[in-house]
Amino acid sequence: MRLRAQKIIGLVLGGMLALGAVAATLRAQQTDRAKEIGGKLLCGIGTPLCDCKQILTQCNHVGCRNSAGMLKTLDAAIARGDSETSIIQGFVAEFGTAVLSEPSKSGLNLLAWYLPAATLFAGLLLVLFVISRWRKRPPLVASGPAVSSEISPEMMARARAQAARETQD
Amino acid sequence: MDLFGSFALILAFICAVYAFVGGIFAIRTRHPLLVKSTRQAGIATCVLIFVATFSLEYLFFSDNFASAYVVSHSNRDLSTFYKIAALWSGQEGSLLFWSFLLAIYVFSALLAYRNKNGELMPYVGVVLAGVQIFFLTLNNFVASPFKALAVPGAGGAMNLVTRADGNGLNALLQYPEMVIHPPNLYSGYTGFTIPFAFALGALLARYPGEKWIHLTRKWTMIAWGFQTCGILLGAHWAYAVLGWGGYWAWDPVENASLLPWLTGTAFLHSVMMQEKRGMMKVWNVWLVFITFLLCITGTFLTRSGIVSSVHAFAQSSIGNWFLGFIFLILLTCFAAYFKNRDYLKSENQLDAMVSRESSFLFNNLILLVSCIAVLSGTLFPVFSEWLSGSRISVGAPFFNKVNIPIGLLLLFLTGVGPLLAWRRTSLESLRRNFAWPAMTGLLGGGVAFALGFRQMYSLICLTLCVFVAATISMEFYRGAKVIRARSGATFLASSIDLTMRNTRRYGGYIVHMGMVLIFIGLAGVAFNKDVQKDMQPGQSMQIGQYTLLLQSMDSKPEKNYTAERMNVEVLRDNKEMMMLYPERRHFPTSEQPGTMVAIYSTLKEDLYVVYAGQSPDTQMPVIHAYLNPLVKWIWFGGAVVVLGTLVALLPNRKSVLVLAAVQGTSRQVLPGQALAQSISPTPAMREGRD
Repeated sequence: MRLRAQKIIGLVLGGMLALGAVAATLRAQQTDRAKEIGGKLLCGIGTPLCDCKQILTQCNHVGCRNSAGMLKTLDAAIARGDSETSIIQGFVAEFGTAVLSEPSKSGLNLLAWYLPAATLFAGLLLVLFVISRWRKRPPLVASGPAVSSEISPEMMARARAQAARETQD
Repeated sequence: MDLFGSFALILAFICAVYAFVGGIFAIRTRHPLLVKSTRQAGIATCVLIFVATFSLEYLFFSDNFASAYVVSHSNRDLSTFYKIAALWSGQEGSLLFWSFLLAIYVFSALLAYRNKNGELMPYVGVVLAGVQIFFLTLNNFVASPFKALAVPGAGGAMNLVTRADGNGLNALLQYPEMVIHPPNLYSGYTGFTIPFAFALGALLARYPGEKWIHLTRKWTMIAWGFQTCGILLGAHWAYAVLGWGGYWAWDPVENASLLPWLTGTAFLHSVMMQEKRGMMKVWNVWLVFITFLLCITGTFLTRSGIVSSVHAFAQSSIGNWFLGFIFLILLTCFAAYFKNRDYLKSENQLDAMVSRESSFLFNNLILLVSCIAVLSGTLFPVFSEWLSGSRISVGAPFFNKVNIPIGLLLLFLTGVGPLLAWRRTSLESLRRNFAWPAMTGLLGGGVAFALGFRQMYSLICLTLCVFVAATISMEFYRGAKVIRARSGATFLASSIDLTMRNTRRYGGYIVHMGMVLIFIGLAGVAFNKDVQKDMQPGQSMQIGQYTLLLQSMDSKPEKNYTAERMNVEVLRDNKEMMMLYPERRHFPTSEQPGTMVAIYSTLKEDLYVVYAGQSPDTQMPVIHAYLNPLVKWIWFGGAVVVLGTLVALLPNRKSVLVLAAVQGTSRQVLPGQALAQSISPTPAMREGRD
């Protein structure tokens, strides 16, 4: 009888430990998920409480009275098992599109995304064009009296090379 | 003293107007007395601005609470150290501080060149006076720091009053770095006025040759050095004070400081093309114009309220003044350019695609693209609201996605540039120069991979860092080896000798090495970890290999604030290591909270502990701990960048011996100066002193 009671207690304790471990893992996953989703949201949008506009999960701005409430909402949504899209849509509905930490990849916002790449591409073409044009130009002829025949071309080339080596940046 | 300061500012304004108008007449008439008197008016303007600034500081030190500005930004218990910083803590004082720093530059330039460059200096003086007039207009008529404290009395009349104490300094500004960060940053912003004035002056005067470039190189480097220091100190302040575990949040005000730094960096590189090869004259002039414009644009963004930021000053109508000034500068620059653009005709001619010249072109392109990416991202919310009516945000994830690849490209070019020769690089030399650094870089990347760096950008970054460090080390090694062979000195002494013989070149390499260290630090971001926990005394938490045990909480009253402190014992592998004391501060005069982060910093990682207040749910103290790898490399790299800048500012120990030797030979061999004349068109020799 006593052995059986010990077995039951053992099983219950084991079960509790296992449940605890599962809960801890779930909490860790929730935290990771909260960090991931929170990374796509900004704190302090459209509220007079704080205008820090920091990434929500990174917002530890001194005196911020906004992030705690937003994080609570986020944690609650994650605990309910809401999808990322519905969580983000919920925040957009409450705070507007400005709550998103980066512009969406649609409409006018595409300009923000493509402008740097377009500038780089256009700039590359321009630089290549400039280089090819400058290469086609005839080299400048140095003015001044001709070099005396007493200095050999090799000696002059050596002097120039040495000077160029020691003076270049 | 407030009347004294106010009077000094008015007089400074009058002197600046005289220096501007008189300067224009002096240029037209070329009357030597008028030229001299306008220069002296420029110097007097600066002296009067110094007087006004010291007057305002005196009001702070004497606790003069009849002054509205002092009441708003100081209190009796504020330490002397922070009373210095109170000067630039508000809109009005910071604008006066801007004028003060500008006056230091103008004063130095006018004195340094008072008997030199007679053709150019009147133009430079006019441009400088024009810029000073704008800021003195703000100081006198728009945002005067010398307003007396007044309250409305009976009949609507204003009665002057004196308060017993002030509101105190913003809690976030009461940190030692805030006493040195703004002066550095402002010195950077204002410093770019000098190259701007010389560039515009040279264009207006059609000043011959590249002399304006030579004259402004050191001024540009000084401004760039201050800007770099200011940006890094600001990043360190954000890291140590704001308590969010990071140092750069791509906030609009942070971005504003980065923009002129990027174009200034581009100018410091492209300027060599003009000096060595007489190329890119138009580009260089416009780079200086753009850099100055970005300095003013940055100030406009910070002070107009057009973009919201935790760092910005309160929204005010002052933005319209800056907008008008930006428009005026643009108009002047375009007018000067279109009138005298023939003066900027360049000797643009390239020998080969693979050359140092090409690498500078690509370097400039990448820096400018980065500048456009940051500027467009910063201003996009404003344009989006104008065009579509909807507010959007452009936060750190956007800037990281766009700028990380650009930064890596730039890092690659930093390594490639020194391997390429001016004019032409043969395939053979390319192979010879690239082989060792490339192999070292790949090996470095392999080691990083083995150590667990699996994030793509971090891995590429570390590989490139090793590659660039190898190219720079190789440059030092090759040069020092030659000197060592001749002198027999140690390798270190030979390296120092090498550096001092060509401070500009090797100072530049030291700056590049500093940037490599900064990039190593940035590569660590991908591996940041953080844990937050509500804890009672006696409880502990784990982060990485560290255990944080909250031993107790205490309260520590200080003169100007009360600190609520956590006493946290740090254990590593269950062995006692040290105590950390993160705290929250309460400033009673301003009713503001503040934090003091506790950081245990090593080259490997920072253990960063924040007392994040009390949990609203459990009422328990919340501890937020971060493990940030490699952060210390950023601050160390910053120090190396500053060191390199200082080295590059030093004069060369010896001028180039080869030229003297060849000239000496020419005297023996040639009658006259035929050889010297024949080699003078070679740009490399023309710049012998660099």
